[in-house]
Amino acid sequence: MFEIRNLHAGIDGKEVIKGLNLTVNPGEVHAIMGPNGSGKSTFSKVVAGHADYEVSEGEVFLDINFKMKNILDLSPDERARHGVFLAFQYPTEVPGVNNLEFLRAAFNAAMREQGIQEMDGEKFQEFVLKKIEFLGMKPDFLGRQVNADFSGGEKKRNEVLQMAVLSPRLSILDEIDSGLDVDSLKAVADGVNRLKSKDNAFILITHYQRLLDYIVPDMVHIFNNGKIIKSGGKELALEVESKGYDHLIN
Amino acid sequence: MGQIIENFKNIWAEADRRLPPKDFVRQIRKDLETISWPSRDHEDFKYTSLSKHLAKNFTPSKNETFKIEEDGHFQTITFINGHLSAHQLDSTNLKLSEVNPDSSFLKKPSKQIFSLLNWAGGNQTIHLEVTGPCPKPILITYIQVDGDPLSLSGPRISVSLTPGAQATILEESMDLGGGSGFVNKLFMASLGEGSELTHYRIQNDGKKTTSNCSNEIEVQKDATYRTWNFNIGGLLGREVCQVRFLGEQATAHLKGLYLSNENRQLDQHIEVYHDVKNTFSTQHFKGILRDQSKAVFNGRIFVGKGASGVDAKQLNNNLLLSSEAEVDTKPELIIENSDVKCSHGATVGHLNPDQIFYLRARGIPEASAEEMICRAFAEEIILDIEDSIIRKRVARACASALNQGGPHASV
Repeated sequence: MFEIRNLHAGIDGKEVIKGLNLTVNPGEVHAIMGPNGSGKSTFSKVVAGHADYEVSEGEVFLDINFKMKNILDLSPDERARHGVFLAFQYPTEVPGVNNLEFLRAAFNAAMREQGIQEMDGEKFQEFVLKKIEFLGMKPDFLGRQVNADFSGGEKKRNEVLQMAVLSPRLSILDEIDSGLDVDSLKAVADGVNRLKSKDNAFILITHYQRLLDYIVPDMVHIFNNGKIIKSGGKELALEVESKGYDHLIN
Repeated sequence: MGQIIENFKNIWAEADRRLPPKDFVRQIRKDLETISWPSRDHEDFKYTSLSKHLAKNFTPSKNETFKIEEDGHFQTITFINGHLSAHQLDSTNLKLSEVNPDSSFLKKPSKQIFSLLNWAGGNQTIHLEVTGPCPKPILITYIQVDGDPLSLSGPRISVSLTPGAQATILEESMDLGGGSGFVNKLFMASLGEGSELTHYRIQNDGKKTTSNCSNEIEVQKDATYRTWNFNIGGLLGREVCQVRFLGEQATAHLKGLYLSNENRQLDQHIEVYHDVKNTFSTQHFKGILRDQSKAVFNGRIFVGKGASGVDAKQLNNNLLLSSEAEVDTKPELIIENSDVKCSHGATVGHLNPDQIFYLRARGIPEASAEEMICRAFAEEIILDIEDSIIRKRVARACASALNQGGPHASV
């Protein structure tokens, strides 16, 4: 459902991703690990379509209506409406914008794209409250302003809530574990596990094996210098944990 | 500037045929001829060309009839082309009259050019006396149906609140004639001891109109003046709000929002005079500018020598949606004693690209993302309007202004 072929991309004229290949099938969880500066976050921004990043070569295919389509020509919002979701490492605060209204605008934008009737305020609120209950969250999230005055853990949970509302087919979680205490990490991981299905896929970007204790990956990829240098099963993460990246890189 | 006055003389002559001018009006006209007209060296006109807007051969606006329906939430006063057309006031605490410009109980003219021009028109002043509480808000509507590009209208309204009286007034102007004339409104209010006036203003004149609204407010001891000003319409939309405190413990809260686009200019000139000790004021004005539009925020706080214990705050925030938009924000604090608390701040910024990207990464189209962030910026001024019907009316006017002429079609 998602395939990257020979991707080269960078920022400010500097190449960061240097020939990346990756295939993700429905129902799979992939973990991307790697040292600082190896290009993991750049990879997530490029897939989401951030305008600061330039692609110089390669293709990123997503299954859209049963056809593999190169999404690099699509705007960030088009990609999102077609089912790409980036959970931000640092979710942006948008003061003044109500969280519920924001979720509804995002949800209805995707509905419009698919030609499905949009939900009115009342129905949508019911729908979101069910998701909140499903994730074991508190309903007071909805009345607050988007990420404004949220703690680090709350911000990450809000990302999971958005994921639950939008039901993306491909979710890229950029260091969803960073800055979380164990309880928050468990809550976030639990949310992700509940959202996993045979029709969607997840890419977890992380520094640490710790996250993978809670969300078990099917594949682990080691990133270095803008490409994958080694892929394997979940035992590869344990190898990194005990021996570090250096022995894989050198 | 002499040519401007020459052009106005024709109008005055025509007005005089209907209503012979009082000496008072003749004197103002004489003053207008002899005073030196402000050039761009003058602080109030540094960023605004007067001759561009006023050097025209204006004609008096036509007296037409036009009926509008309002629901029962308001008591109403309606002006058509600047002429009083109808009113429906149920409260026994309200009295409306048309009075001569030289009536002794009216406030004396200020030295503002636009106020003087308004007085020079010689027309009657509409006087509203408030003698007690008025639970129902008063809606004053100014409708231009005159399509004449050179039409001049100069409505003048004076409101006096007797001690302890309370009123809420919503003034809303609009253009239904597609005209591009000159609307020069003067609103005066005199707040008696312990009285309260809540004053909303929606300036939604035609996009080609030269619009000036002068507000001259006097606040006696223990009285409170609150205003929310929504400056939206006009090729030039100029708002003047001058507040003078005449007694201790008098308070004024001034809020405003200006929403400009295309090549239009919206100016706010705020002047708060603390000549009396223990008087309090706040100003919070926000602006959103698109395209090649301009705006001016000129906020003056004056604290006199003996006025100790004054607390005055001022804040101005601007959001520029285009690299060609321009805002000139200028605090002017004139403080003549040391026992005061005064603060001011101004910000000018663009949309935050991280916020736009975050919303877009959730599937929200760029134009809608921008609109959401602009609306959030504007709502800080709108959301604390207590009367929910007025709040919704304001929100509608602002939403429609925000959506107009945006870079993308709105969703």
